[in-house]
Amino acid sequence: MSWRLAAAVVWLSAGAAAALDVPPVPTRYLTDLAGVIRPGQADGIEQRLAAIETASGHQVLAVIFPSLEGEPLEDFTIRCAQSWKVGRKGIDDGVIFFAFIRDRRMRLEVGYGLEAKVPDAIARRILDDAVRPAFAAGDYGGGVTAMAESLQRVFAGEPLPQRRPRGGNPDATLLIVAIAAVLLLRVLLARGRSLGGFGRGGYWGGMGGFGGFGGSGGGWSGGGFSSGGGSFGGGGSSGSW
Amino acid sequence: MKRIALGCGAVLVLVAVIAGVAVMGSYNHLVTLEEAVKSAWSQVENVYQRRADLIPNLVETVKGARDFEKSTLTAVVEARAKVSQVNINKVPSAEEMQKFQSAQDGLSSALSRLLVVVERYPELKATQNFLDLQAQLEGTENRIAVERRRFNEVAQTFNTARRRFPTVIIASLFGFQEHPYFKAVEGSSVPPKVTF
Repeated sequence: MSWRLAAAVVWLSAGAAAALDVPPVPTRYLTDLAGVIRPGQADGIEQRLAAIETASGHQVLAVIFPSLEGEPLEDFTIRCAQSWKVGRKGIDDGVIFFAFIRDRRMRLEVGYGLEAKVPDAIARRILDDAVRPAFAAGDYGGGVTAMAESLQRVFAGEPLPQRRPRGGNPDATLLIVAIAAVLLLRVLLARGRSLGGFGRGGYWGGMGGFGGFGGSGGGWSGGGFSSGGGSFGGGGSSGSW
Repeated sequence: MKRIALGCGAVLVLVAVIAGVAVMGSYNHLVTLEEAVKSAWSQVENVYQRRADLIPNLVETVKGARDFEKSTLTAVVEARAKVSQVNINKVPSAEEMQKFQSAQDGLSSALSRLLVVVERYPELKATQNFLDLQAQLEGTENRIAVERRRFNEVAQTFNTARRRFPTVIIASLFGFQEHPYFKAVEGSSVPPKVTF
C-alpha cells in the first residue's frame, strides 16, 4: 500500500527533477529559443500578437523550443502555463502556442476562460490546418503567423476555413476583415446598450473601437508582454508535423 | 498572599488566551486548506463529468460506421454506466476514492480499446465529426490528468499540515480526516493518456 503511495508522490514530484526547466516568464509575445524565425518575420508576429491583446484583451504567446529533452509534452506545457500565468486574472483568457523543433511536436494551451471560445476541436484544427503545412515546409514563422491569424478569426467570431487558402495576400484581407468586424461589433454593442437614446452614442462607440485598434499597431514597441495572472486547466490540443 | 494568588491568576489567564489564539490559528489554517481540497475535488468531478458527457455522442458517431465491432462499444457504454453509479459529491474517503478511481479507470481503458479498434475503420477516422470528438476526448483526458495532479498537491499540503504537531491535536479534536490521493496507474509513472 505504502509503496503505491510513494509511487504517486514520486510521480507528483517528477516535475521537479525534470531535464528541461520551465523558463522564466517571457517578456515578449514571441520567444524563439530555437532561432528558427527570421528577425524581420519575428517583429511582424510580435506586433500581431500584441494587437490581439489590444483588440480582444486575450493574451496570446508563442514560444519555440529547440527540443523537449525527453519531457512529456502536455506535462511540460501545463507547468509553463501555470508558472507564466498568461491571460487576465479571474478571466483566465490566455493562450500559449508551444513548438518543439527537434521533436516536431506542438501544443496550443488554452486558458480556462477561453475553453468555450476555443474548444479543443478548434485548437486542433488550428494546429492541423494552419500550422502544420507551414511547419512541414520548414516555414516556422509562417506557421506561427497562421496560428495567430486563425486565433484572430476565432476571437472575432468568424469560422475557420477548412484549409488555408493559398496565394493572395491573406494578411491584408484578414486585417481589413478584423477591423470591420471590430467596428461592427462596437457599433452593435453600443447601440444595444443605449437602447433608450439615439444612435449617436453608438456611433462614437464605434469610433472608439477603431482608435483602439489602430493604436495597437504603432504602440507595440514600448510594451512587450507582461503576464496578467491567468490560469490554465489543460484545455487545448496537441499535434505534430 | 492575596497578591501572589492574583498574579498567578493573571498568568493563567494570559496562558489560556495565548493557547486559545494558537488553537484558533491552527483551526482556521486547517479550514482554509480543507476548502482548497474541496474545490480541487469539485474540479476533478467536473472534468470526469465532461468526459462522461462526451460518450453518448461518441457512441452515436461510431455506431454509424459500417459493421463496427459491437463488443467494444458495449464495453464503453457499460463502463460509462458504472461511472455514473459512483457519484461522490464531497471529498471522498479512502474507500470511496478507491471505488471512484476503479470505475473511472475502467472507463479509461474501455475508451482506449475503442479508439484502438477505430484505427481499423479509416473512413470513420477521417470524418470531421470523429476528428472533433477525438480532439475533445484527448483534451478531456489531459484535463483529468491536470486536475488529478492538482488535487493530489492540495491534498498533500492539507495532510502534511494536519499531521504536524500541535495541529494534529486540533485536527483530531475537530474531526479533520486525512484525504486520500489519486494513485498513479500501476506499473507506470506517466499520467493516464489516450494515445492515437
